[in-house]
Amino acid sequence: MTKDIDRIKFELLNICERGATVDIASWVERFPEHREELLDFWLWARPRGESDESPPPGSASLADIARDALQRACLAVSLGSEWLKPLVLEAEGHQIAGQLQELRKQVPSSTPTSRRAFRRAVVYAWVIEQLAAVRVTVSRLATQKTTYLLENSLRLHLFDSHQKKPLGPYDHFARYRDAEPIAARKRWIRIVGSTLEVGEQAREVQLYARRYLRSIELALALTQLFAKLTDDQLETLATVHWVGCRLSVADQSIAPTMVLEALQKDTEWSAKLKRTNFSYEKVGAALRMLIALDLLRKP
Amino acid sequence: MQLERPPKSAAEIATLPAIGSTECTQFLRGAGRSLDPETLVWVIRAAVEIRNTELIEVAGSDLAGAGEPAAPGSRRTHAEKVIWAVARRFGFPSDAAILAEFWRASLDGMWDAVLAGRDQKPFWEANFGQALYAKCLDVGRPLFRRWKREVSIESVPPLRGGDVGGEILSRLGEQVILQAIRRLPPQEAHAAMLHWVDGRPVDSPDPDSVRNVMRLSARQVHNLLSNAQRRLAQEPAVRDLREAS
Repeated sequence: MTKDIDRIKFELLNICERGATVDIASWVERFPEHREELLDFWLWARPRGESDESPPPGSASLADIARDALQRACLAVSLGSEWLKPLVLEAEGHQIAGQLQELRKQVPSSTPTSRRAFRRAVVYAWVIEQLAAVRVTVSRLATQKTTYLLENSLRLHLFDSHQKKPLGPYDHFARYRDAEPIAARKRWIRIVGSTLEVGEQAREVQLYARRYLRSIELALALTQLFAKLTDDQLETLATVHWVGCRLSVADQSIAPTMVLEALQKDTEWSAKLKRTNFSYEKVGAALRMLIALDLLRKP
Repeated sequence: MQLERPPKSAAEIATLPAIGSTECTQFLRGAGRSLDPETLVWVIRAAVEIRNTELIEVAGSDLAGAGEPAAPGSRRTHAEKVIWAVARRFGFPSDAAILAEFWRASLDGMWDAVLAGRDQKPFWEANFGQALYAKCLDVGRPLFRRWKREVSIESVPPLRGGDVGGEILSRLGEQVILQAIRRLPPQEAHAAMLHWVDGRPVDSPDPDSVRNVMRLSARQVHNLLSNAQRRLAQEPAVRDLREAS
Protein backbone atom coordinates (compact mmCIF):
# COMPACT_ATOMS: atom_id res chain seq x y z
CA MET A 1 0.00 0.00 0.00
CA THR A 2 1.24 3.48 -0.82
CA LYS A 3 2.30 5.33 2.29
CA ASP A 4 0.46 8.56 3.08
CA ILE A 5 2.40 11.36 1.38
CA ASP A 6 1.85 13.65 4.38
CA ARG A 7 3.51 11.10 6.63
CA ILE A 8 6.45 10.72 4.24
CA LYS A 9 6.94 14.50 4.22
CA PHE A 10 6.66 14.61 8.00
CA GLU A 11 9.47 12.04 8.29
CA LEU A 12 11.60 13.83 5.70
CA LEU A 13 11.16 17.13 7.52
CA ASN A 14 12.06 15.49 10.84
CA ILE A 15 15.41 14.38 9.42
CA CYS A 16 16.07 17.81 7.89
CA GLU A 17 15.24 19.56 11.15
CA ARG A 18 17.64 17.32 13.06
CA GLY A 19 20.34 18.76 10.82
CA ALA A 20 21.12 15.39 9.25
CA THR A 21 21.87 15.15 5.53
CA VAL A 22 18.94 13.90 3.50
CA ASP A 23 19.88 11.70 0.57
CA ILE A 24 16.93 12.64 -1.62
CA ALA A 25 17.91 10.00 -4.19
CA SER A 26 17.09 7.24 -1.71
CA TRP A 27 13.75 8.87 -0.85
CA VAL A 28 12.58 9.10 -4.46
CA GLU A 29 13.78 5.54 -4.98
CA ARG A 30 11.65 4.37 -2.06
CA PHE A 31 8.61 6.39 -3.16
CA PRO A 32 8.87 6.75 -6.96
CA GLU A 33 5.15 7.57 -7.23
CA HIS A 34 5.83 10.80 -5.30
CA ARG A 35 9.11 11.70 -7.08
CA GLU A 36 8.23 15.25 -8.23
CA GLU A 37 6.36 16.11 -5.05
CA LEU A 38 9.19 14.95 -2.78
CA LEU A 39 11.84 16.82 -4.79
CA ASP A 40 9.79 19.99 -4.56
CA PHE A 41 9.10 19.55 -0.85
CA TRP A 42 12.81 18.90 -0.21
CA LEU A 43 13.64 22.30 -1.74
CA TRP A 44 11.83 23.95 1.14
CA ALA A 45 12.41 21.37 3.85
CA ARG A 46 16.14 21.90 3.98
CA PRO A 47 17.39 23.22 7.35
CA ARG A 48 15.78 26.50 8.18
CA GLY A 49 19.08 28.33 8.68
CA GLU A 50 17.57 31.53 9.94
CA SER A 51 15.94 31.91 13.32
CA ASP A 52 12.18 31.55 13.35
CA GLU A 53 11.75 33.84 16.33
CA SER A 54 9.75 36.73 14.99
CA PRO A 55 7.54 39.53 16.22
CA PRO A 56 3.84 38.68 16.65
CA PRO A 57 1.69 39.37 13.60
CA GLY A 58 -0.65 41.54 15.71
CA SER A 59 -3.18 41.58 12.94
CA ALA A 60 -6.91 41.55 13.55
CA SER A 61 -7.54 40.06 10.12
CA LEU A 62 -5.44 36.97 10.88
CA ALA A 63 -7.41 36.41 14.08
CA ASP A 64 -10.60 36.69 12.01
CA ILE A 65 -9.26 34.07 9.62
CA ALA A 66 -8.47 31.74 12.53
CA ARG A 67 -11.96 32.27 13.99
CA ASP A 68 -13.55 31.56 10.61
CA ALA A 69 -11.46 28.39 10.15
CA LEU A 70 -12.45 27.19 13.62
CA GLN A 71 -16.14 27.78 12.90
CA ARG A 72 -15.93 25.87 9.62
CA ALA A 73 -14.11 23.02 11.40
CA CYS A 74 -17.00 22.83 13.88
CA LEU A 75 -19.48 22.86 10.98
CA ALA A 76 -17.49 20.09 9.29
CA VAL A 77 -17.88 17.96 12.44
CA SER A 78 -21.63 18.60 12.51
CA LEU A 79 -22.55 18.79 8.82
CA GLY A 80 -19.87 17.03 6.81
CA SER A 81 -16.31 17.44 5.60
CA GLU A 82 -17.22 19.55 2.56
CA TRP A 83 -17.40 22.54 4.91
CA LEU A 84 -13.62 22.42 5.12
CA LYS A 85 -12.57 20.63 1.99
CA PRO A 86 -13.09 23.07 -0.88
CA LEU A 87 -10.25 25.32 0.24
CA VAL A 88 -7.92 22.43 0.94
CA LEU A 89 -8.65 21.08 -2.53
CA GLU A 90 -7.90 24.52 -3.92
CA ALA A 91 -4.36 24.29 -2.55
CA GLU A 92 -3.93 20.87 -4.15
CA GLY A 93 -5.32 22.34 -7.36
CA HIS A 94 -2.61 24.98 -7.53
CA GLN A 95 0.06 22.27 -7.40
CA ILE A 96 -1.55 20.36 -10.25
CA ALA A 97 -2.12 23.47 -12.37
CA GLY A 98 1.62 24.09 -12.71
CA GLN A 99 2.15 20.61 -14.12
CA LEU A 100 -0.88 20.97 -16.42
CA GLN A 101 0.56 24.14 -17.90
CA GLU A 102 3.76 22.25 -18.72
CA LEU A 103 1.81 19.41 -20.34
CA ARG A 104 -0.26 21.78 -22.46
CA LYS A 105 2.90 23.14 -24.05
CA GLN A 106 3.36 19.73 -25.69
CA VAL A 107 1.32 18.96 -28.78
CA PRO A 108 -0.89 15.91 -28.14
CA SER A 109 -0.63 13.08 -30.63
CA SER A 110 -3.74 12.58 -32.75
CA THR A 111 -5.98 9.54 -32.30
CA PRO A 112 -6.68 7.44 -35.42
CA THR A 113 -10.45 7.26 -35.92
CA SER A 114 -10.30 3.48 -35.94
CA ARG A 115 -8.77 3.40 -32.42
CA ARG A 116 -10.88 6.14 -30.88
CA ALA A 117 -13.65 3.92 -29.46
CA PHE A 118 -11.12 1.52 -27.93
CA ARG A 119 -9.14 4.33 -26.36
CA ARG A 120 -12.29 5.88 -24.92
CA ALA A 121 -13.20 2.53 -23.38
CA VAL A 122 -9.72 2.20 -21.85
CA VAL A 123 -9.77 5.64 -20.26
CA TYR A 124 -13.38 5.22 -19.10
CA ALA A 125 -12.54 1.91 -17.38
CA TRP A 126 -9.35 3.36 -15.91
CA VAL A 127 -11.34 6.25 -14.40
CA ILE A 128 -13.78 3.81 -12.80
CA GLU A 129 -10.92 1.84 -11.28
CA GLN A 130 -9.35 4.98 -9.82
CA LEU A 131 -12.63 6.29 -8.45
CA ALA A 132 -13.35 2.89 -6.91
CA ALA A 133 -10.08 3.05 -4.98
CA VAL A 134 -11.40 6.08 -3.07
CA ARG A 135 -15.22 5.93 -3.22
CA VAL A 136 -17.49 3.30 -1.74
CA THR A 137 -19.58 3.27 -4.92
CA VAL A 138 -18.85 4.69 -8.35
CA SER A 139 -21.88 6.17 -10.06
CA ARG A 140 -22.19 6.72 -13.78
CA LEU A 141 -22.59 10.42 -13.03
CA ALA A 142 -19.23 10.51 -11.21
CA THR A 143 -17.54 8.66 -14.08
CA GLN A 144 -19.06 10.90 -16.72
CA LYS A 145 -18.16 14.11 -14.90
CA THR A 146 -14.63 12.89 -14.16
CA THR A 147 -13.96 11.99 -17.80
CA TYR A 148 -15.34 15.39 -18.81
CA LEU A 149 -13.02 17.19 -16.37
CA LEU A 150 -10.04 14.97 -17.30
CA GLU A 151 -10.58 15.74 -20.98
CA ASN A 152 -10.60 19.45 -20.27
CA SER A 153 -7.53 19.21 -18.05
CA LEU A 154 -5.33 16.94 -20.14
CA ARG A 155 -6.68 17.72 -23.63
CA LEU A 156 -6.96 14.02 -24.50
CA HIS A 157 -9.13 14.65 -27.57
CA LEU A 158 -11.10 11.56 -26.61
CA PHE A 159 -14.09 12.82 -24.60
CA ASP A 160 -15.03 15.85 -26.64
CA SER A 161 -18.63 15.01 -27.46
CA HIS A 162 -20.30 15.99 -24.19
CA GLN A 163 -23.72 17.56 -24.48
CA LYS A 164 -25.76 19.71 -22.15
CA LYS A 165 -28.05 17.42 -20.13
CA PRO A 166 -30.16 18.04 -16.99
CA LEU A 167 -27.39 16.76 -14.67
CA GLY A 168 -24.60 18.65 -16.42
CA PRO A 169 -22.31 17.79 -19.33
CA TYR A 170 -22.96 14.21 -20.47
CA ASP A 171 -21.40 11.99 -23.12
CA HIS A 172 -24.25 10.06 -24.71
CA PHE A 173 -21.94 8.06 -26.99
CA ALA A 174 -19.75 6.90 -24.10
CA ARG A 175 -22.83 5.53 -22.35
CA TYR A 176 -24.53 3.78 -25.27
CA ARG A 177 -22.15 3.45 -28.18
CA ASP A 178 -18.52 2.87 -27.27
CA ALA A 179 -16.73 3.44 -23.94
CA GLU A 180 -19.14 1.74 -21.56
CA PRO A 181 -20.33 -1.13 -23.81
CA ILE A 182 -16.78 -1.98 -24.92
CA ALA A 183 -15.39 -1.82 -21.37
CA ALA A 184 -18.21 -4.06 -20.14
CA ARG A 185 -17.76 -6.51 -23.00
CA LYS A 186 -14.05 -6.82 -22.25
CA ARG A 187 -14.91 -7.29 -18.56
CA TRP A 188 -12.90 -4.24 -17.56
CA ILE A 189 -16.01 -2.96 -15.76
CA ARG A 190 -19.32 -4.32 -14.43
CA ILE A 191 -22.53 -2.36 -14.85
CA VAL A 192 -24.92 -2.61 -11.91
CA GLY A 193 -27.81 -0.25 -12.66
CA SER A 194 -26.41 3.25 -12.49
CA THR A 195 -23.37 2.04 -10.57
CA LEU A 196 -20.14 0.94 -12.24
CA GLU A 197 -17.76 -1.57 -10.70
CA VAL A 198 -14.24 -2.74 -11.50
CA GLY A 199 -14.34 -5.83 -13.72
CA GLU A 200 -12.34 -9.07 -13.53
CA GLN A 201 -10.08 -8.12 -16.46
CA ALA A 202 -9.46 -4.53 -15.29
CA ARG A 203 -5.73 -5.19 -15.05
CA GLU A 204 -5.49 -5.12 -18.86
CA VAL A 205 -6.47 -1.45 -18.84
CA GLN A 206 -3.35 -0.31 -16.98
CA LEU A 207 -1.09 -1.16 -19.88
CA TYR A 208 -3.06 0.91 -22.40
CA ALA A 209 -4.08 3.75 -20.10
CA ARG A 210 -0.48 4.83 -19.65
CA ARG A 211 -0.29 5.42 -23.42
CA TYR A 212 -3.56 7.27 -23.83
CA LEU A 213 -3.60 9.57 -20.80
CA ARG A 214 -0.61 11.73 -21.86
CA SER A 215 0.62 11.91 -18.24
CA ILE A 216 -0.45 9.06 -16.01
CA GLU A 217 0.85 10.89 -12.91
CA LEU A 218 -1.24 13.98 -13.63
CA ALA A 219 -4.29 11.91 -14.57
CA LEU A 220 -3.92 10.06 -11.28
CA ALA A 221 -3.55 13.25 -9.25
CA LEU A 222 -6.63 14.75 -10.89
CA THR A 223 -8.74 11.63 -10.56
CA GLN A 224 -7.83 11.27 -6.89
CA LEU A 225 -8.85 14.88 -6.41
CA PHE A 226 -12.22 14.40 -8.11
CA ALA A 227 -12.78 11.07 -6.35
CA LYS A 228 -13.01 12.88 -3.02
CA LEU A 229 -15.98 14.93 -4.24
CA THR A 230 -19.60 13.88 -3.92
CA ASP A 231 -21.79 13.37 -7.01
CA ASP A 232 -23.43 16.73 -6.29
CA GLN A 233 -20.07 18.49 -6.08
CA LEU A 234 -18.95 16.89 -9.35
CA GLU A 235 -22.15 17.98 -11.05
CA THR A 236 -21.59 21.54 -9.82
CA LEU A 237 -17.95 21.51 -10.88
CA ALA A 238 -18.65 20.22 -14.40
CA THR A 239 -21.65 22.51 -14.90
CA VAL A 240 -19.79 25.60 -13.68
CA HIS A 241 -16.93 24.64 -16.00
CA TRP A 242 -19.29 24.34 -18.95
CA VAL A 243 -20.86 27.72 -18.22
CA GLY A 244 -17.56 29.40 -17.32
CA CYS A 245 -15.94 28.38 -20.62
CA ARG A 246 -18.78 30.02 -22.51
CA LEU A 247 -18.67 33.35 -20.67
CA SER A 248 -16.76 35.93 -22.64
CA VAL A 249 -14.52 37.09 -19.77
CA ALA A 250 -11.05 36.12 -18.55
CA ASP A 251 -11.14 33.16 -16.17
CA GLN A 252 -9.74 35.13 -13.21
CA SER A 253 -12.57 37.65 -13.42
CA ILE A 254 -15.48 35.20 -13.50
CA ALA A 255 -17.61 35.75 -10.40
CA PRO A 256 -20.21 33.34 -8.95
CA THR A 257 -22.96 35.85 -9.80
CA MET A 258 -22.07 35.64 -13.52
CA VAL A 259 -22.42 31.86 -13.48
CA LEU A 260 -25.69 32.05 -11.52
CA GLU A 261 -27.09 34.63 -13.96
CA ALA A 262 -26.11 32.43 -16.92
CA LEU A 263 -27.83 29.45 -15.30
CA GLN A 264 -30.92 31.56 -14.60
CA LYS A 265 -31.20 32.48 -18.30
CA ASP A 266 -30.75 28.88 -19.39
CA THR A 267 -34.17 27.18 -19.65
CA GLU A 268 -32.61 23.71 -19.39
CA TRP A 269 -30.48 24.44 -16.34
CA SER A 270 -32.35 27.19 -14.48
CA ALA A 271 -34.04 24.58 -12.24
CA LYS A 272 -30.62 23.74 -10.82
CA LEU A 273 -30.69 27.01 -8.88
CA LYS A 274 -33.27 25.56 -6.51
CA ARG A 275 -30.81 22.90 -5.42
CA THR A 276 -28.37 23.38 -2.55
CA ASN A 277 -25.36 22.35 -4.64
CA PHE A 278 -25.94 25.42 -6.80
CA SER A 279 -26.02 27.95 -3.95
CA TYR A 280 -23.81 31.04 -4.24
CA GLU A 281 -21.25 29.45 -1.89
CA LYS A 282 -21.13 26.10 -3.72
CA VAL A 283 -20.81 27.76 -7.14
CA GLY A 284 -18.11 30.04 -5.69
CA ALA A 285 -16.19 27.04 -4.29
CA ALA A 286 -16.40 25.27 -7.67
CA LEU A 287 -15.17 28.38 -9.45
CA ARG A 288 -12.21 28.75 -7.07
CA MET A 289 -11.24 25.16 -7.67
CA LEU A 290 -11.53 25.44 -11.46
CA ILE A 291 -9.44 28.60 -11.47
CA ALA A 292 -6.88 26.98 -9.15
CA LEU A 293 -6.65 24.03 -11.55
CA ASP A 294 -6.28 26.41 -14.49
CA LEU A 295 -9.29 24.68 -16.04
CA LEU A 296 -11.28 27.66 -17.18
CA ARG A 297 -9.11 28.52 -20.14
CA LYS A 298 -10.91 28.92 -23.40
CA PRO A 299 -10.32 25.91 -25.66
CA MET B 1 4.19 4.23 12.47
CA GLN B 2 3.96 3.77 16.22
CA LEU B 3 2.59 6.91 17.84
CA GLU B 4 5.26 8.29 20.16
CA ARG B 5 3.46 10.87 22.21
CA PRO B 6 5.70 13.45 23.93
CA PRO B 7 6.02 12.58 27.66
CA LYS B 8 4.58 15.95 28.78
CA SER B 9 1.53 15.45 26.58
CA ALA B 10 1.06 11.88 27.83
CA ALA B 11 1.15 13.11 31.42
CA GLU B 12 -1.35 15.90 30.65
CA ILE B 13 -3.78 13.50 28.99
CA ALA B 14 -3.55 11.14 31.97
CA THR B 15 -4.67 13.87 34.35
CA LEU B 16 -7.39 15.51 32.21
CA PRO B 17 -10.96 15.42 33.53
CA ALA B 18 -13.23 13.09 31.55
CA ILE B 19 -13.75 14.30 27.98
CA GLY B 20 -17.22 15.73 27.56
CA SER B 21 -17.66 16.59 31.23
CA THR B 22 -18.30 20.18 32.36
CA GLU B 23 -15.09 19.96 34.44
CA CYS B 24 -13.09 19.19 31.34
CA THR B 25 -14.43 22.22 29.44
CA GLN B 26 -13.87 24.45 32.48
CA PHE B 27 -10.35 23.09 32.94
CA LEU B 28 -9.52 23.81 29.28
CA ARG B 29 -10.96 27.31 29.48
CA GLY B 30 -8.61 28.06 32.36
CA ALA B 31 -5.49 26.09 31.53
CA GLY B 32 -5.77 25.23 27.83
CA ARG B 33 -3.04 27.62 26.70
CA SER B 34 -0.48 25.91 28.94
CA LEU B 35 -1.13 22.47 27.46
CA ASP B 36 1.07 20.85 24.82
CA PRO B 37 -0.31 21.16 21.28
CA GLU B 38 -0.31 17.36 20.98
CA THR B 39 -2.63 17.23 24.00
CA LEU B 40 -4.98 19.76 22.39
CA VAL B 41 -5.08 17.69 19.18
CA TRP B 42 -5.91 14.63 21.29
CA VAL B 43 -8.73 16.57 23.01
CA ILE B 44 -10.15 17.81 19.70
CA ARG B 45 -10.13 14.32 18.21
CA ALA B 46 -11.80 12.91 21.32
CA ALA B 47 -14.40 15.73 21.13
CA VAL B 48 -15.06 14.90 17.46
CA GLU B 49 -15.92 11.34 18.44
CA ILE B 50 -18.64 12.56 20.80
CA ARG B 51 -19.53 15.51 18.48
CA ASN B 52 -18.89 18.05 21.25
CA THR B 53 -18.33 21.23 19.23
CA GLU B 54 -18.08 23.39 22.36
CA LEU B 55 -15.00 21.46 23.41
CA ILE B 56 -13.58 21.66 19.88
CA GLU B 57 -14.02 25.44 19.97
CA VAL B 58 -12.29 25.80 23.33
CA ALA B 59 -9.35 23.52 22.50
CA GLY B 60 -9.22 24.86 18.93
CA SER B 61 -8.86 28.45 20.16
CA ASP B 62 -5.94 27.43 22.35
CA LEU B 63 -4.33 25.54 19.50
CA ALA B 64 -4.91 27.87 16.57
CA GLY B 65 -5.86 31.26 18.00
CA ALA B 66 -9.37 32.37 17.43
CA GLY B 67 -9.82 34.65 20.39
CA GLU B 68 -8.75 38.26 20.67
CA PRO B 69 -6.23 39.49 18.10
CA ALA B 70 -2.71 38.98 19.39
CA ALA B 71 -1.57 42.19 21.05
CA PRO B 72 2.14 43.02 20.86
CA GLY B 73 3.95 41.00 23.49
CA SER B 74 1.07 38.61 24.09
CA ARG B 75 1.60 34.86 23.80
CA ARG B 76 0.76 33.41 20.47
CA THR B 77 -0.78 29.99 20.06
CA HIS B 78 1.16 26.93 18.92
CA ALA B 79 -0.25 27.09 15.39
CA GLU B 80 0.32 30.83 15.03
CA LYS B 81 4.02 30.44 15.84
CA VAL B 82 4.51 27.76 13.20
CA ILE B 83 2.43 29.41 10.47
CA TRP B 84 4.16 32.71 11.08
CA ALA B 85 7.59 31.06 10.87
CA VAL B 86 6.75 29.45 7.51
CA ALA B 87 5.14 32.67 6.24
CA ARG B 88 8.41 34.46 6.92
CA ARG B 89 10.34 31.75 5.15
CA PHE B 90 8.28 32.33 2.00
CA GLY B 91 8.46 36.12 2.40
CA PHE B 92 4.66 36.43 2.58
CA PRO B 93 4.48 39.04 5.39
CA SER B 94 5.39 41.74 2.86
CA ASP B 95 2.05 41.21 1.06
CA ALA B 96 -1.07 41.33 3.25
CA ALA B 97 -3.31 39.61 0.69
CA ILE B 98 -0.98 36.65 0.10
CA LEU B 99 -0.32 36.38 3.85
CA ALA B 100 -4.07 36.17 4.52
CA GLU B 101 -4.50 33.54 1.78
CA PHE B 102 -1.61 31.52 3.18
CA TRP B 103 -2.91 31.83 6.74
CA ARG B 104 -6.38 30.67 5.73
CA ALA B 105 -5.16 27.71 3.66
CA SER B 106 -2.68 26.63 6.38
CA LEU B 107 -5.38 26.62 9.04
CA ASP B 108 -7.79 24.75 6.77
CA GLY B 109 -5.07 22.21 6.06
CA MET B 110 -4.40 21.87 9.79
CA TRP B 111 -8.07 21.36 10.59
CA ASP B 112 -8.49 18.89 7.76
CA ALA B 113 -5.63 16.78 9.13
CA VAL B 114 -6.71 17.06 12.78
CA LEU B 115 -10.30 16.09 11.93
CA ALA B 116 -9.06 13.20 9.76
CA GLY B 117 -8.35 11.44 13.06
CA ARG B 118 -5.62 9.45 14.77
CA ASP B 119 -5.76 6.42 12.46
CA GLN B 120 -5.12 8.46 9.33
CA LYS B 121 -2.83 11.19 10.67
CA PRO B 122 -1.27 9.93 13.93
CA PHE B 123 1.88 12.04 13.62
CA TRP B 124 -0.07 15.22 14.45
CA GLU B 125 -0.17 13.88 18.04
CA ALA B 126 3.52 12.89 17.98
CA ASN B 127 4.92 16.25 16.91
CA PHE B 128 2.32 18.88 16.13
CA GLY B 129 4.83 21.60 15.28
CA GLN B 130 6.62 19.48 12.68
CA ALA B 131 3.39 18.17 11.15
CA LEU B 132 1.99 21.69 10.81
CA TYR B 133 5.31 22.95 9.45
CA ALA B 134 5.18 20.30 6.70
CA LYS B 135 1.56 21.18 5.93
CA CYS B 136 2.39 24.91 5.73
CA LEU B 137 5.26 24.17 3.33
CA ASP B 138 2.81 22.25 1.15
CA VAL B 139 0.30 25.08 1.21
CA GLY B 140 2.92 27.77 0.67
CA ARG B 141 4.79 26.28 -2.31
CA PRO B 142 2.09 26.80 -4.97
CA LEU B 143 1.19 30.19 -3.50
CA PHE B 144 4.84 31.23 -3.64
CA ARG B 145 5.13 30.24 -7.31
CA ARG B 146 1.95 32.09 -8.21
CA TRP B 147 3.02 35.12 -6.18
CA LYS B 148 6.41 35.25 -7.87
CA ARG B 149 4.77 34.94 -11.29
CA GLU B 150 7.11 32.82 -13.33
CA VAL B 151 8.14 34.44 -16.59
CA SER B 152 8.45 32.43 -19.79
CA ILE B 153 12.00 31.48 -20.72
CA GLU B 154 11.59 33.22 -24.10
CA SER B 155 11.41 36.56 -22.34
CA VAL B 156 14.65 35.96 -20.40
CA PRO B 157 17.70 37.22 -22.33
CA PRO B 158 20.27 34.59 -23.39
CA LEU B 159 23.43 34.37 -21.31
CA ARG B 160 26.45 36.36 -22.34
CA GLY B 161 29.83 36.19 -20.72
CA GLY B 162 30.49 34.21 -17.55
CA ASP B 163 28.76 31.00 -16.67
CA VAL B 164 26.25 31.06 -13.79
CA GLY B 165 26.87 27.58 -12.59
CA GLY B 166 28.25 26.09 -9.44
CA GLU B 167 31.23 28.42 -9.42
CA ILE B 168 29.22 31.65 -9.17
CA LEU B 169 26.65 30.14 -6.86
CA SER B 170 29.34 28.87 -4.49
CA ARG B 171 30.27 32.48 -3.81
CA LEU B 172 26.79 33.38 -2.62
CA GLY B 173 25.45 32.69 0.87
CA GLU B 174 23.49 29.46 1.23
CA GLN B 175 20.20 31.19 2.01
CA VAL B 176 20.56 33.50 -1.00
CA ILE B 177 21.22 30.52 -3.29
CA LEU B 178 18.29 28.58 -1.89
CA GLN B 179 15.90 31.50 -2.28
CA ALA B 180 17.03 32.10 -5.87
CA ILE B 181 16.64 28.45 -6.78
CA ARG B 182 13.22 28.21 -5.14
CA ARG B 183 11.99 30.99 -7.42
CA LEU B 184 12.75 28.87 -10.51
CA PRO B 185 10.06 26.73 -12.21
CA PRO B 186 9.79 23.39 -10.38
CA GLN B 187 11.83 21.13 -12.67
CA GLU B 188 14.57 23.72 -13.16
CA ALA B 189 14.70 24.21 -9.39
CA HIS B 190 15.04 20.47 -8.77
CA ALA B 191 17.82 20.11 -11.34
CA ALA B 192 19.65 23.20 -10.03
CA MET B 193 19.44 22.03 -6.44
CA LEU B 194 20.58 18.50 -7.21
CA HIS B 195 23.46 19.58 -9.46
CA TRP B 196 24.78 22.87 -8.13
CA VAL B 197 23.93 22.60 -4.44
CA ASP B 198 24.03 18.85 -3.82
CA GLY B 199 26.89 18.40 -6.29
CA ARG B 200 25.39 15.39 -8.10
CA PRO B 201 26.66 14.55 -11.59
CA VAL B 202 24.21 14.92 -14.47
CA ASP B 203 25.22 12.26 -16.99
CA SER B 204 26.53 9.48 -14.75
CA PRO B 205 24.74 6.12 -14.85
CA ASP B 206 25.00 6.18 -11.05
CA PRO B 207 21.54 5.98 -9.39
CA ASP B 208 22.33 9.18 -7.49
CA SER B 209 22.91 11.25 -10.64
CA VAL B 210 20.52 14.09 -11.45
CA ARG B 211 19.08 12.34 -14.50
CA ASN B 212 18.32 9.20 -12.50
CA VAL B 213 16.89 11.02 -9.50
CA MET B 214 14.62 13.06 -11.79
CA ARG B 215 14.08 10.15 -14.20
CA LEU B 216 14.89 12.31 -17.22
CA SER B 217 17.43 12.01 -20.02
CA ALA B 218 20.77 13.74 -19.56
CA ARG B 219 19.84 16.06 -22.43
CA GLN B 220 16.62 17.11 -20.71
CA VAL B 221 18.53 17.83 -17.49
CA HIS B 222 21.10 19.92 -19.38
CA ASN B 223 18.26 21.89 -20.97
CA LEU B 224 16.72 22.52 -17.58
CA LEU B 225 20.05 23.64 -16.16
CA SER B 226 20.64 25.90 -19.13
CA ASN B 227 17.25 27.59 -18.64
CA ALA B 228 17.87 27.80 -14.90
CA GLN B 229 21.18 29.55 -15.63
CA ARG B 230 19.43 32.12 -17.80
CA ARG B 231 16.88 32.85 -15.12
CA LEU B 232 19.41 32.89 -12.28
CA ALA B 233 21.52 35.39 -14.20
CA GLN B 234 18.62 37.84 -13.78
CA GLU B 235 18.65 37.49 -9.97
CA PRO B 236 20.00 40.72 -8.46
CA ALA B 237 22.47 38.93 -6.16
CA VAL B 238 23.88 36.85 -9.03
CA ARG B 239 23.97 39.85 -11.37
CA ASP B 240 25.92 41.90 -8.83
CA LEU B 241 28.40 39.10 -8.42
CA ARG B 242 28.87 38.61 -12.17
CA GLU B 243 29.30 42.32 -12.78
CA ALA B 244 31.86 42.55 -9.97
CA SER B 245 33.91 39.64 -11.33
